[in-house]
Amino acid sequence: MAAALALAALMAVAGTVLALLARRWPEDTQTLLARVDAALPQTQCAQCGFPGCRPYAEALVQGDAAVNLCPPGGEATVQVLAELLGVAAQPLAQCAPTEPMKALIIEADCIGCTLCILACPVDAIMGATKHMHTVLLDECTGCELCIAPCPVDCIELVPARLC
Amino acid sequence: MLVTTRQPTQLHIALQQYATRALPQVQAHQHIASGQCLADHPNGVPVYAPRAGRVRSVSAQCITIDVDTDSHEAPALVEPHDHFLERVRQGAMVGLGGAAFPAHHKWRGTPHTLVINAMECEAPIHCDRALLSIRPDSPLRGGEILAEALGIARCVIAAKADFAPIFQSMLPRVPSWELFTPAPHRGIGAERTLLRALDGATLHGPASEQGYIVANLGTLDALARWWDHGFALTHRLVSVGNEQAYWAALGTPLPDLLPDTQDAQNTENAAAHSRTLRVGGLLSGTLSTEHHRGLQAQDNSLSWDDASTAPLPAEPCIRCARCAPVCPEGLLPQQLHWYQHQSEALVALGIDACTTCGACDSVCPSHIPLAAQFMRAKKTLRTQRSIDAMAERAQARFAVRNARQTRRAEQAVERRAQHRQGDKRQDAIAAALAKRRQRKAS
Repeated sequence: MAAALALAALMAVAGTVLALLARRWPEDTQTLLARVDAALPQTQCAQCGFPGCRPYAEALVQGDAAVNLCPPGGEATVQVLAELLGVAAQPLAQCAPTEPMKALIIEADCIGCTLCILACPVDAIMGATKHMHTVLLDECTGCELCIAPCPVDCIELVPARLC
Repeated sequence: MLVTTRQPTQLHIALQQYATRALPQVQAHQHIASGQCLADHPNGVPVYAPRAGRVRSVSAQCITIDVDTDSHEAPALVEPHDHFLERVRQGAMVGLGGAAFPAHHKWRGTPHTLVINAMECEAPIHCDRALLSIRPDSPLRGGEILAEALGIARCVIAAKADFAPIFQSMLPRVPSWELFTPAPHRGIGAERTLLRALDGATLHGPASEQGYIVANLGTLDALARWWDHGFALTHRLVSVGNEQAYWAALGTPLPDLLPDTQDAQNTENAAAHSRTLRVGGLLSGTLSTEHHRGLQAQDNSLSWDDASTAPLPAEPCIRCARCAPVCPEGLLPQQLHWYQHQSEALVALGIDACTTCGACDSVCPSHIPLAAQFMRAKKTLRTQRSIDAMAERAQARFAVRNARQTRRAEQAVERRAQHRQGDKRQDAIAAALAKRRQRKAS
């Protein structure tokens, strides 16, 4: 009887301590950062206002950014982020894209200026100065960051399913 | 059983292959010989002309040929390669069981066992039966070629009970081979299920990576014809309905093989036009109302999907679990059905092992189309996995690029610092000169 009581008391104390610790101790920031980063679609499109998915993840973990800023991830990503960070989900700030796209260089028009190569966040464009550039379709995330810098407007977005 | 050869008047040769699309090497209006190479791709297999004729049109998807009236099947116009797998590729060998997977990819490595799959277990496919009625020796000859080239010690003919006597009579030709007749079971012809019945082997991933080659009779027949007579794979046996089979050129328009459609065209019977065509077996086949295409290497059987074979309306699952004991892979179909939209749970329940054989469908008292659901779930899972893999790659490439940019920025700062140091030296020289000038002046 005494043993059972002692054991019950020990369990109660241990349980309370563990519960308190779990509440007080925040999740390891590095693990949380990795999980938040993994939840993002990795298009590196910077539409959230941060220069890529990892910087956005860092801002999210520090509580400096809202969870609804990622259009390529859509509502599903908002839900996952809200759950991970323990905040309320909000509707997306911008419209989500209808389908995944890829950039395609109209090679006949390319003048070889390398501006798109510098803009590409995932090194998915090959080429050299005054030589034709081309997009590595397997690596392109469709972030659209190469479109604006092109001085001759020779980059187009095409649906990924047609590539 | 009736096997006939159809002389086509026009061929629509599809260029889409298992994981790639062959690139055309001919132009419209060009005259081509029988056995001439029409298209090729380094990752796929070449496409040869089954008949001589004139190219009517060429697109990225299809080459259309107007066939000469007197043309016939001819050996491929290529010099056979010395290397075995390259020669297999050259002969356009793809699996004729229904997947049309390129054989030179599947037959890599150092296999220890060759299993000749003569299980043909899915109605109404009967092209193996047709093959055994016209060329019973040919698949065995193909097996011999394959076993010799790859140094395979153990060869097993896995034959269903109907075919066993045919192979039994041929066994003296290949005394070291085994004949294996597994108990009839739904889905027993699926590679993994068959190997479990044979050796009790539980396979994860492709059988070819674990030393097994499972080959269909048609594929081995094609190999024998290529090796001994130089015919590349330009024809295949296709069973039509329950009794008919054709030795047909790839690209033969499907309406030519389906007498009913021809009648429909003649009488312009709209109702018959909208009939649903089933390509493949009752379980694994696909349904379509678009019949106007050419025959492809994976089309093993054509039949009409009549109302009599249409499934009864599905009722909710009553959790009777009758599907669990019949699953040849030992899965729990009722659980897979329950969690069909939750990919993590599906993976944990082993959906990757599901061969969509439909054994669960056959016992389900609620008529739930379980196999179709699992096929959809597997497709969704595949898409999700490829998206995840791409995201992972993009993440890594982004990290590498950022590291490179940081490194470059640091190097630039360093260079500027060095430049400033250079300025200091110049200052020192100037100071020394000024000092000397001062001294001279004094």
